[in-house]
Amino acid sequence: MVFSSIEFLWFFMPVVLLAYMAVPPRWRNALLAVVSLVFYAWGAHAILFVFLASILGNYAAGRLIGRARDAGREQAARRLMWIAVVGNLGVLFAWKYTVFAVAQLNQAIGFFGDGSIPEPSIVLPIGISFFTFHGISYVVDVTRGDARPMRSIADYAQYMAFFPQLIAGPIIRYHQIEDQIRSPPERARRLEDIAEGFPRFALGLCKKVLIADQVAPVANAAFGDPSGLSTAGAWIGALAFTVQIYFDFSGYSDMAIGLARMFGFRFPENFDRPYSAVSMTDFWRRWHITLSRWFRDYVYIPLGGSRVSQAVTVRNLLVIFLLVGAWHGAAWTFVLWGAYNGALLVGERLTGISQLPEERLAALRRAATFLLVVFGWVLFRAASVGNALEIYGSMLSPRPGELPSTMDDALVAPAVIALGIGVASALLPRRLVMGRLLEGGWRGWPLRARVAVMAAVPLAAITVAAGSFSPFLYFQF
Amino acid sequence: MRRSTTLRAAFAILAIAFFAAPIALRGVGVTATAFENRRLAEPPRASQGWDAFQQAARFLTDRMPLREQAVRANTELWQTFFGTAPRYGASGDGGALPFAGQVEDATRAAGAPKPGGQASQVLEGRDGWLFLRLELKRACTPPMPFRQALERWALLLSIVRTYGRRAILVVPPDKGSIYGEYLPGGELAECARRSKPRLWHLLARERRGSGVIGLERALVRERRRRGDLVYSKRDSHWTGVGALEMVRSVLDRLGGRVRLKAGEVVRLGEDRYIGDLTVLRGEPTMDTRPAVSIRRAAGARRVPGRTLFVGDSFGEGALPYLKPYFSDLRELAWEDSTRAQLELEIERADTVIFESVEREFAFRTSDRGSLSKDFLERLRRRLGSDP
Repeated sequence: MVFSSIEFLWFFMPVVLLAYMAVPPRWRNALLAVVSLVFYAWGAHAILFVFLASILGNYAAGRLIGRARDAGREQAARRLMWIAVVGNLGVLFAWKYTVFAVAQLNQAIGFFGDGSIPEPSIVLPIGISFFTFHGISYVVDVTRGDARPMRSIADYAQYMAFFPQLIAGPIIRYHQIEDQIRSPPERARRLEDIAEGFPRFALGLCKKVLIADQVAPVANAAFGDPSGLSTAGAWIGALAFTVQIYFDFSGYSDMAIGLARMFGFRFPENFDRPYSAVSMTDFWRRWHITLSRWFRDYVYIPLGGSRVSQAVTVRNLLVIFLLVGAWHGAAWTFVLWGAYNGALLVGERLTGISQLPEERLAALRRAATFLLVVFGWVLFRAASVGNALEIYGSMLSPRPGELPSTMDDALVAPAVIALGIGVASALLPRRLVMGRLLEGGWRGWPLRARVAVMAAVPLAAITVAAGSFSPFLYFQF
Repeated sequence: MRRSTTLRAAFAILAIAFFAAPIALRGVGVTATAFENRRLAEPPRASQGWDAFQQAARFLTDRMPLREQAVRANTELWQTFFGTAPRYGASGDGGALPFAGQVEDATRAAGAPKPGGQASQVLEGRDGWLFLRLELKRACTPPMPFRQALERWALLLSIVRTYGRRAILVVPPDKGSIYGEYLPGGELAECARRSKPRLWHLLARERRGSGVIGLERALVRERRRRGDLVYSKRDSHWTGVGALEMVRSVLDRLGGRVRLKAGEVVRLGEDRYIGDLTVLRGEPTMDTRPAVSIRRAAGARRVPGRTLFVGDSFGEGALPYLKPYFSDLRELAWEDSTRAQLELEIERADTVIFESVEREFAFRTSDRGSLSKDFLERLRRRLGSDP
């Protein structure tokens, strides 16, 4: 079930909201845990059992770690933590990387001789990249003493499974949300929470269906068959994906933040106008913030972070970005995309660009950073490294020619408008952050922003409802 | 303070109204009706296992009040602001978030066109004539060369005939082959105009004994002769008048003394219908077309034996006119039948009529179609082992 679907918006949500309004505060977490598991099973089917095992395993590990810490057995707590971390990574590896690993092994075997290992057929289960990171966050935070283990399995299941963040984040580190889980708001605050959360949700829905989904066919056309693309076609395709991924992902995050708020949770921000960044270092402070912070807290700092020699810091940055790349997908394109970003950050660090004041040559640096990001997205979106090289070739060398017919078909007026809005949004002043504006008070610009979003949401609703239109072509008698 | 409390209450009510309006409407008796050329999805059953979730989504989607109005509003918006029909099914996730995992797409009815497959699939031609984009696309870039496709059809007929059955293939033209002057401008239509005659010339050169019947000439002739619409202006299919040409040609090859006589055709004036192309554009519109029926005397001679008709929606439209001429006519749809079913029914038949519309002619014989080499080989073995 995706947020921008009929069954979520107009069947799942009203039922869940009604149930939420009816139950006393102490039942909130249990209710949200149950409905979140239904939400998960709807799209993930039998993988639900893997998810349940992950919830139970991490819950048990947290309890054992808590007990060991209370007894002063720090070593035992650490050992348990490592067992849980390896377990979580094992689940992630098994479902996300096995096929890739087998393919690489087969290539190696093929290089040295005959024979191959049969490739398993595994589809990436929804949310696995997120719930395994939540599991790791929980056991590490409990081991470090940053948070207490959950006593109630319902409370813990709610943390792991809460449906707004289950499919595409944000990644919530356990210590950030522990107190909110333990103390649900009073009944009297519920309507207020719904009023606060809904405009944010509506903003995300509009971003997703009115911008991202409109430009998606343009990007698909370019990346689907990049051979022989003209220079214009390659640039349009790359820009379309640049717009699509931001509005899709940040739209999802807005929806998640808004939904969570409707149920009394305050999720951390995940985006902060990333395309207005003045350097790649700045970009990564603004793009998928919760992922960067997860890696910072649980990998980068334990590796020594920046408080070590320059050489070790460089190594740490490269390791982190290779991991970030691989986290996004099991393919060489993602690994290379991670390496590309890591190399740019290292370059900025070594040249001092990352330390420059924000205002210095801001327009030029914004434009340069935007271009670097667009180039990076080509690697991210391309089906293979070869395809990415094809598109780079078309972008960087003058290749005249018409747009392919698939792209021509995709470039209808709404797609062109969405693309224009998307690219233009990168040019807006940095301080203008719509999501933050919607968190403001109930007067002036925050109120105007809310009204504007509410005015656009019927259009998004019509688009979602009409998107399910699937007529048959058959003879009528 | 009081103002902000009022505003919050207003936004909370709007939020609840946004999510709950369809269920509330359903609660007060507003129901959805079928408007997509198909029946509403059945309710989910426990026996469907995990697929019950997807079935539930289809069921709920189909029954959501105001969905039809949303589709109409969407179409109206596109036409008003962008001057074009919306491209249903063309947008979507498009793999922007590969790390999110694979979510089942539940909103599409089983068998309905796949997402992306519907991108601007209806083209508006001259004088309000509508055409299916796929027709032009397949003419322009056939899934396999027409000659090779014809060879594979011929092989199918030869296998069926070798083992004692009669078999023919009828190929109805797409609308653009008969009403080419109404096709829209543009490169695709031009390309299709150039390509379409290749298939018809190829089929016209077939000997009568080959069993392959291209219906293009017959329909062009009928159009000129009577002036009636042989195809519907806003539908992708032929009218009853057009379908009769298939009946005439089939009986000419297989009927022996059973023929379509002019006196058996009853002209019923005009009937009203909703053109499938208007539905595909999201603006179902009523139109009229000439209506006919067949009236035969009780005990009139019929084609004996068991006849199998394997066809698509064009054949489906012609069956009511064909059935009165056969003593035992069984039908199978290419789309809905498995290869095993096809083999079994061919094995049981005395006569087999294959029908494939122009745009599917080279698709059905391609690797993605029903008539793969593997299928033909299996059919040969099966019919060969039939005692």
